[in-house]
Amino acid sequence: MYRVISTIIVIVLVRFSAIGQDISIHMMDSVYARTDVNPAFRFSNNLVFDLPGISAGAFTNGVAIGDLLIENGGLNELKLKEGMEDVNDINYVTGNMAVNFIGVGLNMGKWQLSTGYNWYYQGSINYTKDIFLLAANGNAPYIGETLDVGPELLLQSYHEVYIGASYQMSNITLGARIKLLSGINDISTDNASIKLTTEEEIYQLRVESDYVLNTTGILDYNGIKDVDIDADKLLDELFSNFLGDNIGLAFDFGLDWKVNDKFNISASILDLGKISWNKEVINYKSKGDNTFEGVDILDYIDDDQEVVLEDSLYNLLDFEESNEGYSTSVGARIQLSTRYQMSPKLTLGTNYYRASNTINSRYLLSVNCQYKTLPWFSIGTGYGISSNSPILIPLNTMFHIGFVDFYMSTENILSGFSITTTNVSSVKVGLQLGF
Amino acid sequence: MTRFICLYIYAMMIIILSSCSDVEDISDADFVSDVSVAISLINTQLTLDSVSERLNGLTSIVIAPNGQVTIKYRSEVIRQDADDIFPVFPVIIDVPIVGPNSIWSLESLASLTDAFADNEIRKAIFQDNNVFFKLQHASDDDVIFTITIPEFTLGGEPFTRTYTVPPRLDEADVYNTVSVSLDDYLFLPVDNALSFIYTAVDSEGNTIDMTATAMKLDFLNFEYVEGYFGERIFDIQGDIIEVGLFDKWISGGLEFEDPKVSVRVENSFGFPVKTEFQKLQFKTINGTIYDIESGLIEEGVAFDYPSLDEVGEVKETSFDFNKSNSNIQQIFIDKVASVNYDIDALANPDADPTISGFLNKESYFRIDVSVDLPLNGIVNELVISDTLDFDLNEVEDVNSAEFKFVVRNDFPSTVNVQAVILNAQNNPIDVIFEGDGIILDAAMLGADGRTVNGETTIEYVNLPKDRINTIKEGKRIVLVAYIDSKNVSDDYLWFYSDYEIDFKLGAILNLEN
Repeated sequence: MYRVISTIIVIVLVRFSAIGQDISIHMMDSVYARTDVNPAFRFSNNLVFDLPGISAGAFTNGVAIGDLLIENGGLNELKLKEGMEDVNDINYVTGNMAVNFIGVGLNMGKWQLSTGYNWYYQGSINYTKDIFLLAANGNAPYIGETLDVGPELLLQSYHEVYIGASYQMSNITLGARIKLLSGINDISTDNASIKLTTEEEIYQLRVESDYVLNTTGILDYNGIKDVDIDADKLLDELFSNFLGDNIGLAFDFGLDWKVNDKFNISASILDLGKISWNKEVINYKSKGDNTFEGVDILDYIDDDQEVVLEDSLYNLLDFEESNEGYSTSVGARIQLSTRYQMSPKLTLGTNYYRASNTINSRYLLSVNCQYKTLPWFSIGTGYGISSNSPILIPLNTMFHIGFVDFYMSTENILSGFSITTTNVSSVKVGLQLGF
Repeated sequence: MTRFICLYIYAMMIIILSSCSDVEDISDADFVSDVSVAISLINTQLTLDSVSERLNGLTSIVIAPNGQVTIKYRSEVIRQDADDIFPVFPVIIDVPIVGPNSIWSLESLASLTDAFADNEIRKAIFQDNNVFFKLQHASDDDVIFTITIPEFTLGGEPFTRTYTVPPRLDEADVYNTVSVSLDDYLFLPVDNALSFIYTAVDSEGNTIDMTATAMKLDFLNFEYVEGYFGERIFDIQGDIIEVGLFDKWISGGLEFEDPKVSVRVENSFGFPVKTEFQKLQFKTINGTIYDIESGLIEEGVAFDYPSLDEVGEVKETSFDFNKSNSNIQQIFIDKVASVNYDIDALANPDADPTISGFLNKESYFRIDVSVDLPLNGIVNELVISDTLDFDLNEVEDVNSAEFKFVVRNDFPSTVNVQAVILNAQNNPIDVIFEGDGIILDAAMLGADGRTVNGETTIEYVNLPKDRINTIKEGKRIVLVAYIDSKNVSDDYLWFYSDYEIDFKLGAILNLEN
């Protein structure tokens, strides 16, 4: 089991490295991408083309996986025991990626309209401290105890087509977006309770399970030893199933209040909606109480069959398959931010941001400053904390040449030194044309 | 310059962030673990009851209503059907019909097969028989031939057939009539003989002399036969019963209070039959052969049989050689390995021809011989041993191990078990348990003669890495068990079906890779 979990963690981190790009984007005036975090944010050009950009991030509140790496004779070794002190009761590893293929914004005075197409991936796994300890030490140190070893899992990709509008009423701007979602693939847990007890007498193993794993054909379960996750399908089918099956709907709502000429307060609630999955659905359900007490020799009297413990152990977690459609939320986000224009070149701000998916959530809090060094260049930084990191040093830059804006931001510049040894890593890169 | 600085900052960000590719180090890393796995290996509640449910083949465990246990060793069941004793026989002779009124004695059948020697058929029903007649005359005209066999009747009417025999062509011309089925005809011979009555006339009613007349049956086959079948021996053959109880014996004694050889006969033949033992020998594990001494051998045992009013019923006769009618108990003290028997069945042993018996197509003998060992005995320092092939080379990654045995013995015998590992040269290289081995103390007897629950024994065996490496060189494992009941009682003790050995084994395996 722990090999499967560690494989999933590696998939999450290796394939998708980051999100969290939203820590300072509210400070980046005139960037169309700001509307992603608040549909009430306005862009300055009459017509904006948001060209393909990418944002990605990875977070963990537990052990940074790079801390488990030990170099031994030129080879990297992954030793779970190295992370024993850092593991929390509940740990998550999350990776997100968004590809903003195209966005178009139209400024019509008090009204601003926007439309566009994005592609999203989100991957997340929650693992308990017990899972980590079991993987690191085995079950022998926990004889007589019950370990909670049910991981929660989410691997999901989907298309998004949106239409948005904002309306400026004196000093308050209201905005909203409606998003048509088209699911590509999904693996997600519903119930995720697996409890493993090692009895004291002769170490009988008892598994109490109430576990539901839903998939859309990218996970093939043939026993606990034979789990195949075709993670490539999450990416390789980038353009597949567009507006086919797995349809969903989501909404964004936002407000930007211009308190005075220098001070703005804004708030938004994003991604209220869900996707209904119905293509190639397989539900793996395990519910019950199974015990392995050892082999009964009597079963092998006058029988030539080989005694195989392994099979009996794997049967402890017995899954039934079904094909019932299911739905998942895409994960609600909330943002509250302020901006204060200290001078024509310097803007200060604050930001509270909370992002959730079906199995975990994360918040961050930051103070920001944005300095416009030249008419065509600005840079921003600040300080933040998040639920999984006591220190975040964001950095963003905007580069404006004629009608071209190029921008890049990261939530935590410190993570640039090693994504695998810090808890927060993110980057966002984009390009827009404004007329 | 300013633009250069900005581009430099961009370049730095890209370089810094591109270092995120160190995730590749993770995917390429070897997973190193040194975990301790605790797992239960064996959990068996061994009762004679549970063993009996799983036994098949020629060895079984019989449990009496009061729970007392008997081990039963069998040979293959012997069965002989009516066709084996009175086979369907093709009739290769013509039954001569000499004159218009003739009689043919059935004793002539004895010349066909011994099965009919000394037989006197008093009543029979044909099955799958056909009859035709071979006729010859000297007339140049058609001859009307009518024959009646009064002993063959169907529904009370005698067998009568009329044939038109064509004119003779030459002296060798013999006319064969068409075959007629005799199915369901009742055959009631008078004085063990068959009579024929015929007339032969030409078209004008003149009597014609038949120059030759005969009856031809294709088979002698009866659905039912009643009569006297003579004093005859049916060779039922025999077999060898393997008694595996002492296969693993090394030393010590195992004394049974009342061992038996049981014979159970099913018989649906309707005439007296008695056993004639040609052989009943016991071979011990040392190769000594004993003939049993018993009055049953000399006198034989009469099988019960159905009477004429009980056609179709199966009668059962059981008898056994036991300590009261034979010397079997003394023979078993020498540890019997096999029993060799050969039984014949003597029909009509009194040779009384007035007895009227029967047989039909469903009649059979079924003889089931077994060695029954009621588990009521004394175990006296019995040592048994078994050697098994052993190979731990496939066990990899185990750095060290600790095995935990949890054992409870409800039997009224102390059991010590030891295991010795042998290398390729059959030299001992490791002894698994310390001292005399794992000791399963005997359960004590309660007032009712049954044991009360035994004490649980917990034993740990530690196998550090160097010992595991030594054991991996092993090729065979010798299991030795010492069993003794004398510390519980000097008397014979019954083993009951619910006595249990609760054997549990768990292990903590310290793995590394």
